[in-house]
Amino acid sequence: MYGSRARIGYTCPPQIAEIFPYEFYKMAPEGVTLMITTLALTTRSKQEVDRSFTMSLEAVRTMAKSGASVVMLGGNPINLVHGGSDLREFQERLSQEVGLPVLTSHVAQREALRLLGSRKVATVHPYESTHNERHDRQMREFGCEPCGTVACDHNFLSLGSVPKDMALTLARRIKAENPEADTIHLASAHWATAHVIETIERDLGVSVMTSQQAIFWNAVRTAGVDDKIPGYGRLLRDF
Amino acid sequence: MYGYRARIGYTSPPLITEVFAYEFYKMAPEGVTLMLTTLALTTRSKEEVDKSFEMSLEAAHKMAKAGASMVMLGGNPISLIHGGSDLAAFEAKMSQDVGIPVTTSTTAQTKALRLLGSRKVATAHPYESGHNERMEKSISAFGFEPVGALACDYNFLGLGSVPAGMALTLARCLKAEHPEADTIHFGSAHWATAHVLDQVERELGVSVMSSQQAIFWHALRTAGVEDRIPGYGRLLREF
Repeated sequence: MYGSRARIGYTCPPQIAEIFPYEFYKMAPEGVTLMITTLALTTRSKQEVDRSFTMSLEAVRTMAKSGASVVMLGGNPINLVHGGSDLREFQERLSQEVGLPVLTSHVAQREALRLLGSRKVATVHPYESTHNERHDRQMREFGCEPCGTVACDHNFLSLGSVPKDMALTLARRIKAENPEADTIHLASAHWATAHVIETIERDLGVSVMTSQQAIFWNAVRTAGVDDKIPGYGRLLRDF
Repeated sequence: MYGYRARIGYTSPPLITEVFAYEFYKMAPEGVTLMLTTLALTTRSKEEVDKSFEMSLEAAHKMAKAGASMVMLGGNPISLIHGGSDLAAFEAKMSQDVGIPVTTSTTAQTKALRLLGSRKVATAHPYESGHNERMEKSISAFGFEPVGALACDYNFLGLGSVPAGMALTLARCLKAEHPEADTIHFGSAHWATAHVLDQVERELGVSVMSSQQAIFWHALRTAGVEDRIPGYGRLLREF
């Protein structure tokens, strides 16, 4: 089988997954595969979020039966709404039930920021600016101080169309506006960010944590793949 | 955006999709991305097939809105049961409805065999041997003469675990048992086959058509990407 070293299960919130598998296979060492189930989000309505949580649980159980090494539940809103106030406890309960490690993207990102030593974090995300407040709140939940948030003004269906230079342009802008930021967070695992992580860290003298990078990192490390992976920021190179 | 040359929509029958995306990104030229929606199959029950057809139609509409270059509907059983007796008419109607080209894996494989000049086709597939007859019927329905089928005896949930050496071993057995075969068909797009296509053609003196390769090839050409791609059989190298 292709996944001779690790098979990473991932429940992917968007109904149409494009960027996540693309960036996964840019980063993955040979012998590591992605087992993906797409969920129901196209607008992020309450109904879609509820349905996606139910689909996630079914997928976790099926992935376990299919031989996954680990399962990562995607979607902060999905897991924060349904996973209870203590996501680590939720992860442990599910892990015990299905017999393999189950993780969430929320915990992955929090852990990534902790290891990077991040304290003041500026966020760039692909959605409309009405989501800024949600992202600031989330940064506090990650244990960091939010210092600036900027939006790309795309919606769920257009995430794959965000121009390739958007992440870098907005990272430069947010650092210029918030020079105290020690970390730039490129939020959401479903827009083009992996190709600019190194440039941002080098040019702006910050750490970078992207949702996709943190999810990938936490999943492969949990699966026992400890290769230090160059080209995608300190997180994958140093930890 | 990453998919600046083509964005290929694909509705993937297995609830857990692993091998298709892996092989897609082994084959795809830079600038070509996969837009993936996973369907409902875990056992291929009638309920799952019916549900998957509905999910396919919804996904095709969403993929068109999200900017796909074209949409490939996966799953011979899904298309053959629900697409009606005239798949070309079904595809034409779907294309008109959603405003971009829509095609099916059944059409892709039929076109591939025609272009390869295939006449007598032996099939290796990953499922239980109870599926041999269905596989041979598929070859007849494509308009070719079936000359034997061999099974790996895996179920839907075990597709990603098929050993990497299995496809080559079965191809050798098939050709030894059916020396008249001019083509080996690797049925199903969800087990490890891409890595042996060139070797099977060279070693056994046959053409090879794998479901994944034919789907990828037809999607790419429909999207206007005409690059000849080496390493994965005559189909991608010559047509």
